[in-house]
Order: sequence, then structure tokens, then C-alpha cells
Amino acid sequence: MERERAVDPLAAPMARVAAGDRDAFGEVYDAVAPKVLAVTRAVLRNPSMAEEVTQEVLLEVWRQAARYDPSAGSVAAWATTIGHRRAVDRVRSVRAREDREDRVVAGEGRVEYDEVSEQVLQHEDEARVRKALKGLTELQREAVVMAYWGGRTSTEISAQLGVPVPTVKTRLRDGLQRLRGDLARGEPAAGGAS
Amino acid sequence: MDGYDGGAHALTPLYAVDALEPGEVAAAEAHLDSCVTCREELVEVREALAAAVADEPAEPSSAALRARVMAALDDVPQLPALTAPSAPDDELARRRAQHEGADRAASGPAPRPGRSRGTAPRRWVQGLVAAAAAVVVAGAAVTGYAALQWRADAQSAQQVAQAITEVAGAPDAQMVDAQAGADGWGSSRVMVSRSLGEAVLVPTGVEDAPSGRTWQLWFVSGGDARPAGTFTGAGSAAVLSGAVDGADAVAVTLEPAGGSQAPTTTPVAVYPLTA
Repeated sequence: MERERAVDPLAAPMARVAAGDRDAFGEVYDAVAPKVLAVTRAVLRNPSMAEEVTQEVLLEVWRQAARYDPSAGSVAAWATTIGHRRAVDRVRSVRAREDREDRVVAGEGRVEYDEVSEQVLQHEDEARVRKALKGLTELQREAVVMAYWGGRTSTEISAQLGVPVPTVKTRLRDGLQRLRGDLARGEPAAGGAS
Repeated sequence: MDGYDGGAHALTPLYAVDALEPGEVAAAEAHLDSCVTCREELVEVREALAAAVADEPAEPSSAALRARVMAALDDVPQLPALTAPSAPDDELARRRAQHEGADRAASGPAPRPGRSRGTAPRRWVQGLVAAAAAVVVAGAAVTGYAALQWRADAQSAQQVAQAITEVAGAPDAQMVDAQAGADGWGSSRVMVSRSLGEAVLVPTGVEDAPSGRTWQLWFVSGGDARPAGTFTGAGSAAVLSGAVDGADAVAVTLEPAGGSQAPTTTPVAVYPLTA
């Protein structure tokens, strides 16, 4: 845990944001908003909802700026994490409602998701994500994409792929460890802005 | 191996991608509180995922989203910093508080290069306190001076913020870019609502006016320019004094300190207003 990390280019602007500096916030916004928008769009699959959540997330960055701890991760990862969490929370509440409606209307279980992991991503995103995850096996990549970009729980992934939950968890764990290792070794990530 | 039973450690990667079932989240967080290895893993996996996310390409709606967020800042009060830890023992309490406050986005401490553990958070907080104090001083100076300059019913920062929120919320609110921005004025924009008759300056990158000078805003109608307030260059947004009425544009000039009755220099920025 004493490993050193690269200096975050947003650390200095973020300190100024914490002091109420709007120009610095503009800098942070320009660096992280495209990423937050990308992750919320992937999870929500609805551009206007994604914009709403992105707006919430960036205002949260502003609100919480003084509580951001630079030693616990980069500003970009912090904002992306908040964005992912909020998008997932929203998509799950929508799905829960749809499930209830499905049961009432059709008297049967949920409508099968038509997506396999490729369809979770837009076509143009797929190549970039695939490149970022190129160190993973096909099965690991599928699980990671469905979980992170698709906003699915391990149980949902298990149901969709027809494999046991522990298998999904193994693929996720191994895939994420591999991704983490690739980043630590300085493998270029596909999509990153800087 | 295909089966996976890593105990509590096994929850961390799933927690990192928000893939746990609702009933599993509390156990994962309890474990993260006590497991340094998992905290480090969480931070690094999140870092790797963020790096793997491709930026969404800019679209026409991107600028509008940015404008909405910037305009909403005045509506969102910033939370104070959490108390700095006095000893590494406080690390856990601080981190817990951060988990709650920051959507559990952060975990385990990892000192940055060149800083020793324990002093880093304190220096960070001290820096913020100093910076915040500087902003408060600057803000107070503007407020005192502005009482005469800006519209009489919007003297306090809070009232200004409320007026800005009203303009931002108006159905016909428009964010206008400068036709030409000269050195020192940055990329500031003006937000206008014709129906409210109000205009707001949203400053970005405005430098302090040269000594003995001040930035002054004008409502321009035909060949006529009405004074709309002066601006010292301090960071926050401000409401233009006077009503928009039939103005064709908002202009900005550099004037002698105290402002002028009519522009004496060439505008550094002109904001055309649609009818």
C-alpha cells in the first residue's frame, strides 16, 4: 500500500475548487465530465438520463470538493466512481419498477435482456473498451463489460449467461485483477483522456 | 478453478464494479474498513476502470450541459473539509467519514511521492483553509464595494446567488458567448433572461483589472450604452445592474476605477443578445 502513484494533474485545480474557485472547477469539469458522461451513458443507455446524472455528479464534486482525499485515488476515478454508482442505482430502481409492472401486466418473469455483452456498448465504444481490456480473456472481458458498462449484478450476469454465480464472480475477480495489473505496468488504456 | 470462495476478500472486486446484490454491500464495506489490502485493491481497480472508460465525444449538447452545471454552482453550497487527523490512529475515523460523505469513493491512504504519511492530509487541509480565507477576504471586498454598484436588492452574496438561480431557471434563459474576448477577460459568458429582464455575468479566467482601472459592463441599445455595473475580477458570478429591456448587446470595457458614465475605451468583449 506504500506504492507510489502518478501525480494527478487535477490535484491542484481540485484544491482550488475546494476553496470555491469556479475557474478551477471548469478545468476539473472539462477533464472528468466526458468520462462521467460515457460511463453513465453506458449504464443508463439513455442520453438525457445520463446528462442528468452527470450534472448531479459534477455538482457533487463541487459540493464535496473539500472532502476529496487525493491520497485515495485520482479526481477522475473519484468522479467516475460516483457516476457509476449513481447510474447503477438509477437503472436498478427503473428495472425493479419494470419488473413489478411486468409481473402485473404479463403475469410472468422479467423480459429477457436481448443484449450480450457486445450489445451493452455502442459500436464506437466497443473497440475502445476492447482495447483497454485486451489483457483479459474473452470470458473475463464479457463479465467485466456486463458488470461495469452494463451495470449488472453478478446474479443478473449469471442469469443472462446461464452460468453459476460463483463462476461469474471468479471471472470478474480475475478480470479486474488483470486490468489492475495492466494499469500498474503502464499498459496504455484505450480511452483515457488526460 | 471455476468455483470461487474467497470469503470477505472476494466481495471487494464486485464492490468495485457495483455488482454486489444489495444485501452484500454492508458486508463488503465492513470488510473494507478492516482490510488494508482490499482498500488498496479497491482504489487500484477503480483507477484502472476509470482509465478504461473512453471519454464521451463532445456533442452540441455538451456545451449546454456544462453551462447548466456552471450556472447551478451558486445553488450548491460547498461542504466544509473534514477535520484533519491528528495521528494515524484517526485515519479510520476520517476514512469512515469520507466513505459516508463521498459516496464511498475513497478508501485506503497512499501517501503521494515526496510526502510523509500523516502530514499529507493535514497539509492538504491547511492549504484549503488558507485558500478559503483568501477567497472570503476577496469576497468581502467585492460585497462592500458592490453595494453601491450592483442592484440595490442583491447586495449579499446569497441574494446574488438567488437572483442568478432565478435567471438560470427562467424558460428563456440563454448563455451567450463573447463575440471576441480580449486578453484579461478570459472566456466569461453572460446569461440572460428577457422575460425577467435580468442578465448575469458568469466569469471565467477574468484577470484583475490593471491598477487604477476596473472592468465595467454595459447594456448597449443602438448607439447608446447604459452602465450595468463594474467588476473587479474576483471569481464569482454577478448580476448586472439595471434591466435588460431592449438591449441588443452586453459589452465590457476597461474603465478608470469607480467606473464611467459612458464607455471610454474599446470593448474587450461584446455579447450579442437575441431579441
